[in-house]
Amino acid sequence: MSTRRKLAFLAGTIAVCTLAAWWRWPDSAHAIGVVKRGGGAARHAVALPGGRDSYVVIVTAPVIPPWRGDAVVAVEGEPPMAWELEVSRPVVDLGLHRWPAQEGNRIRGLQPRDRLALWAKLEPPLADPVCGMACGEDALRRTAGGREECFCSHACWEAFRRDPGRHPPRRVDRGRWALTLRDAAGGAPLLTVPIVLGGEGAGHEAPHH
Amino acid sequence: MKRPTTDPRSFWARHRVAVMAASAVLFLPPLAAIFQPSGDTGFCGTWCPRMFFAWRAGQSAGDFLQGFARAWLGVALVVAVLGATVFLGRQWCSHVCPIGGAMELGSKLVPKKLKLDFSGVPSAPVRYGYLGVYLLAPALGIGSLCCNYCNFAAVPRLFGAAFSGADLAYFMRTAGLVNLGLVVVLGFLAKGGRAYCNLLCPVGALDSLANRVAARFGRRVRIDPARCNDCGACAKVCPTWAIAEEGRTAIDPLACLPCRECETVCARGAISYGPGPAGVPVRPALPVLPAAAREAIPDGRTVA
Repeated sequence: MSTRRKLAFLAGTIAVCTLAAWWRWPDSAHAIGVVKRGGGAARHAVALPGGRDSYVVIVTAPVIPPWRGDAVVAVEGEPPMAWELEVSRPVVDLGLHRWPAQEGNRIRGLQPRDRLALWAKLEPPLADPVCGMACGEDALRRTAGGREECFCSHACWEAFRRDPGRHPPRRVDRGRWALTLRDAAGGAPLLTVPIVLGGEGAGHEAPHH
Repeated sequence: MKRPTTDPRSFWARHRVAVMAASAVLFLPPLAAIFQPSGDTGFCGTWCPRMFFAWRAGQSAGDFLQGFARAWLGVALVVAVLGATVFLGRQWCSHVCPIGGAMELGSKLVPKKLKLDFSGVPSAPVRYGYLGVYLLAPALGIGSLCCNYCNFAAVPRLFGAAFSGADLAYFMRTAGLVNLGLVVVLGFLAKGGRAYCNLLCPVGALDSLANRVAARFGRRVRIDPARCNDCGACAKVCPTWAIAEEGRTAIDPLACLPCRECETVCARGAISYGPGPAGVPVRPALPVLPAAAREAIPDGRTVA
């Protein structure tokens, strides 16, 4: 193989890999923090661009002594965000290590030096497909084309009804929430991971780890 | 003329597929037995063999060293792998690595007509171009290939996704699907199943450097030029396209894994594994086929 061909592959690889290293996938991010009494913090906020139906946020955090106990995980903020939690643990527990147990949004039996790896699937709340406003509790809810939509007013509902094809489903694409771990006994904060959707730093700069 | 049916290679070499399968069972879900005593579920975390040696812009020396402490089992693994490579060649990559092994085993299940042949890609420029960006991009603050593109994260989760919601969540995002695509295209669909290992593995890139630098001192797969007739049969079965056919047949120590597939097809016994180069190792004598018999071997696999 000629030297020129090898150099071409080298240059191409460097270009593609540099682009790949620079690029941030817009629907997931990884935050590293610590779980501790008094409230641990993440190294940085999870900053995601808006406009997606769902996101995956990965949080890894060791438990700092002396705190131990059960923790409750939540995604706090308004309007409420739908979310699901998965905690990494072995598929087959061989009994070689003590693992904290997940029960819904509660993690039981955390001890100092445990290393948590949480996977949270987030779904931003529905927004009015016409004007994009977040839907509050008093929003109009209608089923159209097999899907539930919400409208901030009758005017938006009428606009949607006249031409549904012009108004695809929308979700809230800006806002601030926080993924939190709180002590199940008393609710004291153990870890707060800010989640910024569509805000400053939510584009390319969104850090992945 | 019939070639002896006994395979002169060691037990370790003869049963490489079984070793790879055993490694996959021990390292990968659902058992992942190797990781459980340390409280890990996979290579991410204490066992990560990749992240600790990539310095990131803004990191202090203390932070950098803390990364070594956090991934101390990964550090130990890499040191052991490189040390073993100096003396024995890339045995980790060829036999033990559960990630490369799983991709190679998976590729064996894929019909030949679906396989992609990457042998036209020069491996060294791609591998070291990748390694250069892997090390420099975080140091210059451009970003990171680490974690974002990692088959050590993707392959175990591929095995765990059927059982674990956390492993399934890995693939429910674009980054997970891109990693899955890379594993499928460069692993399962690649001829030999080792294109990912050969092109995009940073540990493999360091390991192949150790293999090259210490080639004089350790055991390696070598070709005896006195026996080799440049038939090219060995090049056809090499999963890392490490055997050059231009001019005299030669093995590229930057790409060679001692899988020893080439040995099994060499009708002249010209390829063997051993120390060098002072004495090119010659394994127990295999009969040298007469020219007429050699010509009757289309791909070197069958000798009858």
